[in-house]
Amino acid sequence: MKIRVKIKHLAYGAGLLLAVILAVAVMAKPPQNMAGAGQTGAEAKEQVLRKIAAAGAEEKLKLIEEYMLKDDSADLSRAYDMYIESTGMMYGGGVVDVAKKPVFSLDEKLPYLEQYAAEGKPGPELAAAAKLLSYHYQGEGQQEKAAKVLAEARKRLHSSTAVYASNELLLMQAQLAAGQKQYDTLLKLCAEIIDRNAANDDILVRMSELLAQYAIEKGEVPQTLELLRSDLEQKSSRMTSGQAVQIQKEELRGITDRLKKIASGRPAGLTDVSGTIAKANGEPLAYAGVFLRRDDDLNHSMAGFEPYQTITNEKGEYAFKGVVPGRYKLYLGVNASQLNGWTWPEQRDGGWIDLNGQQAAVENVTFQPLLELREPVNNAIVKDSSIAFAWEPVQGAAYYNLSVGIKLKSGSTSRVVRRGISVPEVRIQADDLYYEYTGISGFSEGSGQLTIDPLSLLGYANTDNQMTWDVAAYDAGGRMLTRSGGYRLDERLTDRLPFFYLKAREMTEADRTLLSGDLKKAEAMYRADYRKDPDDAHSLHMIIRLLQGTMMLEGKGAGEAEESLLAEQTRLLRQLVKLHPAAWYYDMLAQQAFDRADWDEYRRYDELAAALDTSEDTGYRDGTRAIAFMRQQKWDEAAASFQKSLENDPSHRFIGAYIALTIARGSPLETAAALAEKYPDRMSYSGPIHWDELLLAMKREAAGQDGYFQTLRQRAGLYVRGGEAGGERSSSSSPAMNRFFEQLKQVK
Amino acid sequence: MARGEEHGLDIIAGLKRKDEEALVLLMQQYGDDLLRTACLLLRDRQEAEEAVQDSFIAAFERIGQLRDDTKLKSWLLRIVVNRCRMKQRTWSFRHLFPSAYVDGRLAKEEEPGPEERLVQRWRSGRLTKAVHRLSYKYREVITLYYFQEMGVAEIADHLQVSKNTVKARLARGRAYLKQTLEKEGETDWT
Amino acid sequence: MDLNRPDVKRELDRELAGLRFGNRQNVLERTHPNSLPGRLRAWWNKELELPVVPIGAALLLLLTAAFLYRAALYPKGPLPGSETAFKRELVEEAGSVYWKDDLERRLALLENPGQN
Repeated sequence: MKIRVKIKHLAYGAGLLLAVILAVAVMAKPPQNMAGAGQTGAEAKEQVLRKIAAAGAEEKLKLIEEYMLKDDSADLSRAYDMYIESTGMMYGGGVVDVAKKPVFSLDEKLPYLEQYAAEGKPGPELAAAAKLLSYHYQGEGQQEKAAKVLAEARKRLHSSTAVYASNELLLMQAQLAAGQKQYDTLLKLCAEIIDRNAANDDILVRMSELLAQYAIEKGEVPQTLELLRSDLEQKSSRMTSGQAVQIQKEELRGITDRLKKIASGRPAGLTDVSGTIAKANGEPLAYAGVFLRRDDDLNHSMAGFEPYQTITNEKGEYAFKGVVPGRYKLYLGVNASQLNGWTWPEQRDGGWIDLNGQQAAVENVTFQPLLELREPVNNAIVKDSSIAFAWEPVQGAAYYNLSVGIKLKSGSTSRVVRRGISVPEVRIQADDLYYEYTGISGFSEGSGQLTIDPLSLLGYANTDNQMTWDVAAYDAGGRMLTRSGGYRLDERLTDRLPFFYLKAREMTEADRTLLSGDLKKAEAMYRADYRKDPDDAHSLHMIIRLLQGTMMLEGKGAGEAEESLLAEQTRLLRQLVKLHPAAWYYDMLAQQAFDRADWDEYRRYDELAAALDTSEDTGYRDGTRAIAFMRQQKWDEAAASFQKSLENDPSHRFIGAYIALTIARGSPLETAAALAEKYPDRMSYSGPIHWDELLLAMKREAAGQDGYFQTLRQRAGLYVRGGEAGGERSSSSSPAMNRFFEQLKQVK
Repeated sequence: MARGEEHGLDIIAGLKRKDEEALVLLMQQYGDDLLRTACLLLRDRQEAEEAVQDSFIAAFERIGQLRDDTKLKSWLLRIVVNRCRMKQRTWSFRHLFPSAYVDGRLAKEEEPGPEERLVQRWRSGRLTKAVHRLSYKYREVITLYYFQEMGVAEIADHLQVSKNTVKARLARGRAYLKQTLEKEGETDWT
Repeated sequence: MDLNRPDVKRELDRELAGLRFGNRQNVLERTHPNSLPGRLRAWWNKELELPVVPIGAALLLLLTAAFLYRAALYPKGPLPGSETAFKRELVEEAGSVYWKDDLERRLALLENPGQN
């Protein structure tokens, strides 16, 4: 097919086409055509920097904004891929944005941030630039410059609508002033905060934290804080419920209590906390987020208003100045690639940092290279009657602890099954594993009804369930050196996955029925099996497990039904221990004896359990023993056991009971308070109990009340003997005392 | 005038030799007729002129493609009809670059004399106007049928459509013409 | 009124009688140019017969070349904004933190994927 075209038309057409092509080639060139997925980070960054260098003034600022400030990098609680503590990731998971624009480190951004701070348009990005610069200067030890950059940015933001950003800077400035003990500046800034933020309670709460620092240092409560406090009280009583309100109320409570503590004249001081975050090979973790989180804040996610947040400098160093006394945990904000192949070994005391007004505290974090496992890995199927675990040896390791875990319907569970292993391998009898204790967990399907998870009942005896394992290495002093659990974000590190299947036994019909969810039928089948064969330890074991589950569901105090269930369980347990003695069976029997106040039985079973218990953690056992002694009014033995428990158990879960004991024995409150301070409660299922503050409250309450201590001692005595000393028989004039005994109920 | 058979062979031979004289003769013989045909089809005098000019040039250049010497007129007509069709389609393109066309005219052609202008301002007759009212595809068949006095088969061949299509278009075209003419009232043809 | 051929033909002839083709000069100038500007003009208006397919192909080639040229000049790929910045998930399993997709891929490759 041909067409006829005049040359001139052809010329015009060609000209048009050329124009179009040129337009496409030249004008449609995107201004940010920079980083691509296939390009290396360094090249991409190079490109951006070149672009910035070549751009005109306005374009430059826009680019800086686009590539260095729009990424939340100044909001530390959101800037990082992962937030971790020594036991693992904070949320147990996370989502990371990958393949975005190239990421610049703080020192790379530096000159551009300076420029932006001086010339950029007033807005949230300007505040972000100032914040980052401030962190940088703090990291360099240049506190004045750190404060100055904030002040100047604020001046520039003065008339803009970026109120939130401006407030952030104001708070940071105030924080710096407080840390530097520049209290005049602090008060001035606080006054400004109040002026501008009469309606913003979040800001006010944060600010009052700063004033508490002042109060602690000066030993007096500034007027402003008192006014603030009453103002907030009023506001919070008017506010409708909501999470933010709840948190603020808690904040308020904390501040108020602290104030009262100050008022009582207890010596206290602020602490400077610093340290270095690095890997064992010396490589520092530069520009990582460091968060000193108060125990009160641990039950909610990282929030902007938490007071102690900063960034490490290029040497991995960080510093917080003027930290208020309290209990803290260190968290880090890191990016996925930084810790690949490393782990943060667990600390002895669970990673808690107690600040009691000491001048300085140094908290370093050193990541260790991962312990590598050998076998069984990658879904290996173990059919032998014993499992041979093996791993790479660790230099300097005196012993290893091995844990095995199973999957549950929602999540997983794991237990240390062998301790003190002296060589990098161990053989564990499948049988031992089968009878291992697993916590019973439940789940509720949509209907809201709680069902027992059969996986948690069958536990390690389940041949279909994927098992996991991990090892930790310790030195002679019991300090964890490293472990196999850590950050494995690399192809190489995922080639030996710690998963295996234990198929040494055959699952019975009853087992399968159980797994299918029909618990009633399964129970019947187990009973039938047991009747047929009285040596069938497994069936017996499962019946007991099912009973446990049932009792859990029905809840305590179901009356007669529960009584009979309990009786049956005891009977069965007695049978089972003959067939297969295990520590936790004896423990259960001991517990039942304890509940019946049958002290001899309790003691007998407790000792049998202890003999079989390989756990180092004797805190719980000692604590329970202590209470048993207490009930039998053997004060001295009780005190001794309490001591032992508290020494060995970092959670100090029995401190409350111990305090009650000392009070019942007639010791003054000061002794009890000293104990409370020495062994702070850290059982954090519902937030730690601040015994020292409860005692303080009672002391204050006692002022002006005759016979207060008498009553207190009486009630303590009641409690110690196992009676009800709690809130019911209380007089309304001693709310603090009531609170004390109310909390005591939680101790077990 | 007979369909160019008298001087046909001489002209063709001359054209093949690229003889200027032959071209002049060709234009003399067929120019008017082709122009009138083009005017019926294109409505616009200038366009029609252009179409015819281009057709002559094309004919001159492609005389070699003429297979049957006796079909000179028919061949020329085919060229003109095609030209007109193309012009009809590229009408919008023309609007994009009016200057090109305007340029083309003003720069090269002499200013049309007063006589010419008169002719250009020619007012079409009623029938012509009525034909112009038809949409292009009907105009084609009507023009070829009535003005060029071609048969249905021949028209079908020229336009590269089926005879039935030609018949249908003719019928429709006629009907429209009637309608248009009747609206304007009776005329005395004779 | 009857639209018979002879009548219509006659009428049309009459109406169009005034039209005469008089622009022979133009044509001659283009076919037999005698001056440079004339020749140029003739050439400028000269017609070419172009086969569509090769031309279309040539154009396509040209456009592709243009694109490749552009791509070569800016080999960095798509805009960061336009590219759907994808998300990867981190999961904690058996005590370690993995990329979820990595882990799942590895598990799928194993011999005994298991009955979970």
